Amino acid sequence: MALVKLVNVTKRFGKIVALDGINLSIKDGEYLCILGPTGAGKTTLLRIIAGLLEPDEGEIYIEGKRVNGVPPEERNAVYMFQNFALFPHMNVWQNVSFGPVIKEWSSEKIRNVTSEILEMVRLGERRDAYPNELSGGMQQRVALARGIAAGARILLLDEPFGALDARLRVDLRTQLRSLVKDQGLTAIHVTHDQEEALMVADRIAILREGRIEQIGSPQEVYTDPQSIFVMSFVGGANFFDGVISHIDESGSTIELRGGLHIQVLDTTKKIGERVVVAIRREDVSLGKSRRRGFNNLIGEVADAMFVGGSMEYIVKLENGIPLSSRILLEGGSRIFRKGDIVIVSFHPKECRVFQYPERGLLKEIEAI
Amino acid sequence: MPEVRLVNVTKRYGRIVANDHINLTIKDKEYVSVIGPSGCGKTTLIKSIAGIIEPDEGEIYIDGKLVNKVPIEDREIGYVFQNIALFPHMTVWDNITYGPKVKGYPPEETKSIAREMIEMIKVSARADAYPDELSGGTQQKTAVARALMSRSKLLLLDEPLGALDLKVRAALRYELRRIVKDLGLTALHVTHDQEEAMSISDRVVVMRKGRIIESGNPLELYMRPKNLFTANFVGEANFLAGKIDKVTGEGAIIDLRGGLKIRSRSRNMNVGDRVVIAFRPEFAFLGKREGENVLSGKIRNIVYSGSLIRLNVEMPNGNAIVIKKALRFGESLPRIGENVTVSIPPENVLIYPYPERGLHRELSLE
Repeated sequence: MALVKLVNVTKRFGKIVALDGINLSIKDGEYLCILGPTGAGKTTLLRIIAGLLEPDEGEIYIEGKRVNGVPPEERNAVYMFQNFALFPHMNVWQNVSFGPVIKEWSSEKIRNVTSEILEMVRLGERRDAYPNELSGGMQQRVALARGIAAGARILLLDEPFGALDARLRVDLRTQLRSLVKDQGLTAIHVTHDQEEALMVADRIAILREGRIEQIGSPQEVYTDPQSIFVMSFVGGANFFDGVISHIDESGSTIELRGGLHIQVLDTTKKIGERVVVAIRREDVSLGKSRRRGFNNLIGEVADAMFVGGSMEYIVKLENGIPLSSRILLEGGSRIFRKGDIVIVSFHPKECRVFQYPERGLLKEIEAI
Repeated sequence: MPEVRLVNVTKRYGRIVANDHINLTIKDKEYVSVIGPSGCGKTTLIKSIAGIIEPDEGEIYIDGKLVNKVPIEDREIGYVFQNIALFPHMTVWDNITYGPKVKGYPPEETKSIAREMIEMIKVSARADAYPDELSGGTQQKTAVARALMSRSKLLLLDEPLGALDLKVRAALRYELRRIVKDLGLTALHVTHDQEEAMSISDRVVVMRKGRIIESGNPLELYMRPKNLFTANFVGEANFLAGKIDKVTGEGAIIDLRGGLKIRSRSRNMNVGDRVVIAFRPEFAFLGKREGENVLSGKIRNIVYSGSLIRLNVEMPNGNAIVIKKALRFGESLPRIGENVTVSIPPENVLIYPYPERGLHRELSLE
């Protein structure tokens, strides 16, 4: 049974449609990420589930009960903001035991529950500290502990790592997922960081302009993106504008600007059709010789950057178009330099072909 | 020819030493990034160079001139903040030309420089737009152009991309580096994002608790970090505690828990020393490779993140390691629970002295 269910949820702010007919089911124990760029409606969606906003249309169900109009504190869901909003004048222990105290549990039960949860978030040793004495990551765990102590089974996390150091975020997201899974909680986590979503989620819903563009496991969303937008937002890729110039049983040929040709397996398009062909940066290899059965294009390395463990290259192809390649540096990987002439290779199977978008390519890939 | 030189720069806030005898030279036309956990003193450092903060001790030289007492407006620097501070009621063009106008520079010259800047940052088409009509990325590029209008050759960037979406940030890195290099500027860039620092700079400076603990070019810092802290801060790594068993001409043999042995090319330790070995997850490989450390293990977990996968492998001594690999065309992967062989090249195994306060605490970034 779905623990949280949204049916045709729509929310408008004046003329802006923030959410446009959202249908979504979240299973008990599931870790769902809602991923999208700024302004996609992610936070609105989360606030509607929390009860902090009411939808204009549609229904919200939690544990089978319709909760439209039910106040946030009666929804068994805890909403965590980007800023943690702890009580600054209370220490860690007081913050975490706040819910149980309000509920007038016995002092023994309060003590047991609070210490257990503090151990769980690894803050047992800091129980007497005040929020301003804690790091951002610790404050966040206190907020999490407070929500769980108050009985929340559903965590609503709004950019929970937004304010933290990049390196620390990587550590904390793994811990957060383990916590949710170990405690059998359900999490709905809003983020604009695709890497974060890919790493923590059981399923990712990609939101764009108030609609769910695609939903699926991290692997599905990455390996089988249904639109240019999803492919660009999750993982990123090279996108080239071209025309189908030839089709046979082995696939199609796409002609790019400047007379370059790319071979793809896809045969769903027609000769003469304008298309976009997409190739993941990490599917493009650089070398000195042609690879059999691959697309091989010649280019000059225009930029070579080391990005923590990987090399990122921008290669200017013969037609002047830049192509990026990202190569994980493992033992023996060759490093190319700016100005090197290279052969870039990618397999026809790795090329995805999309219909040329009505609004133009740039709009879909959200270029800066 | 702006070269920046800091000699013994110290700044205290009460009992906290924000900058503790910092010595740093930024060469002419060099792009240097400063990274470190929150509170390490990186912001204090850049503000001291800008002239916003005056150090308690030490000297700051720009272009060979001592500038400790020189006010910010006379230091000839461009300064860009995290919070985009454009004038909301002015167009892009007016924002960019505002500074020179106030300073009473010749209007014709200002115009031609502004045109050049706008071209440079690729916003010519939006010169008449107001800030709120622009994306965050374009606003920040405008802020960079405005900072460059002073024609200063020294650019100070304080978390310049911090307020932007990750995707925009990644794209702007290259733009920023290109602008700096094309104009032949010297840049100091403070960031909390180690990946940003690595991809953008000629040299990365790592700070911790008010001190510079290491600096180097990005690749060397990642591959051969001199400190355990750096190894952990600039990227993921596997860290295992052990003891030096033997030191030979080839390197060292380290005894891990449960009698497991591992070879390293490093030999900077003595027999019996308690150590921590470190290797990056992408330098542990599935399968048996000649001449490397060959270990057995069991797959405990597999995490996908796009084209990269992380395999959690438990070794017979109970230690767990992470292997990161790129998914190769047509390659099949082991399953959870499967027994596997793992190879680790000895040249990628780094050795550090066992930290006084314990491994777990040393690795905690909080």
